[in-house]
Amino acid sequence: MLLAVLLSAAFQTKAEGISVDAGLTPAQDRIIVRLQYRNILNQMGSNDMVMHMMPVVVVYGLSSDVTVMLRNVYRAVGTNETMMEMDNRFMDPFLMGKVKLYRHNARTYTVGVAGFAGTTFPVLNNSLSKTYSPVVGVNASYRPGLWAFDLNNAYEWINYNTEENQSAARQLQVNLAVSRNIILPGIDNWILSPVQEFSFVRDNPAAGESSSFGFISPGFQLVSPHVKFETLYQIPINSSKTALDYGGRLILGLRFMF
Amino acid sequence: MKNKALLLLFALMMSVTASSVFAANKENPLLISKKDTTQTNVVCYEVFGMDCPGCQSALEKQVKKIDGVADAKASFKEKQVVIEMKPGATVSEEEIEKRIKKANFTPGKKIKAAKDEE
Repeated sequence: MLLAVLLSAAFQTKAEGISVDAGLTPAQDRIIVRLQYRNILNQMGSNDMVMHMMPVVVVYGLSSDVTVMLRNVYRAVGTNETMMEMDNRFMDPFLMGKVKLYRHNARTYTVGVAGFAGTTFPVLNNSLSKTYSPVVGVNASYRPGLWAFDLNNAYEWINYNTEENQSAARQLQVNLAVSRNIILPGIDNWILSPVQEFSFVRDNPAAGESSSFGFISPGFQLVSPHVKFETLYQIPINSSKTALDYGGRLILGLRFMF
Repeated sequence: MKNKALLLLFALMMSVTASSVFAANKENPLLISKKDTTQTNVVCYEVFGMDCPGCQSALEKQVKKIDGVADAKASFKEKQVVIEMKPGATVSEEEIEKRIKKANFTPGKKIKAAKDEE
């Protein structure tokens, strides 16, 4: 059971990872479609486990203050040398709402704070267990000039079982993304934006010891008015002390904005 | 094999999108051309809160919803939006400011459009 929870947590593909819109809500009627490919390497002892996660996220600005987001993930198993039975499948869908709490646009900077709440829903036939994974959080953004500082904070109840009235684990995530826009000479309306992310995760399983680990993630984005390319490489820190040893994770993303 | 095929499909999709967007960009100059402004009314507003090209398209989408607006071009670098009205159309400043706010930006002062000065 503990292993199942660890695996569940390890394969989450949340908003962290190039989360540059953290504390800002998009415009009313804005539609954003985000496609990603995540290559995830984990180790259990000396046994490798390579997963290919492909989340699809659709975001809609209900108003300038309220945004809804639906995400689904397809998981393809690459290498699995462990005893765990893993199959290629769609994961449970995740629905989230984000609300603007504060925003101030000045001539030289923008500050924004937004709260969010969401959960997975066990609606698929292949849902491993009929559990939910609710998450709440607060994000903040500070954008002075060409710089961007985005702070994401989330608290998640992983695999909350409504019959047992408890979650299998709780997880705190803190993520700071720093980026700077570089205007590309000769190419109107495109910018290059190197990103550096710092992630901290605190796992509190229902049984067993708590653990902390993190990622240091360099990457970059190429942004146009309607398309954004994203790439990030997450380098794990301190993950060898957890039951599941996390390896590096490559994230490639494509975002369409209408 | 299946995973390789998925990877190949993803890479193909990214390259096709990049080429089409770059191509479209060449035909889409930021500001309204001199020829266009000779017969139409052009207004320009300062806008605060835009920090990337994605913000530009969000603002343009909102402003283009206004009845009487023919086209809109926003620039996060210039911190402004240039709005081209349809011939004979009049649009209230309140309506324009309301749309800028719906895009989550803040309207500044109305400024003279650069092309009007020519």
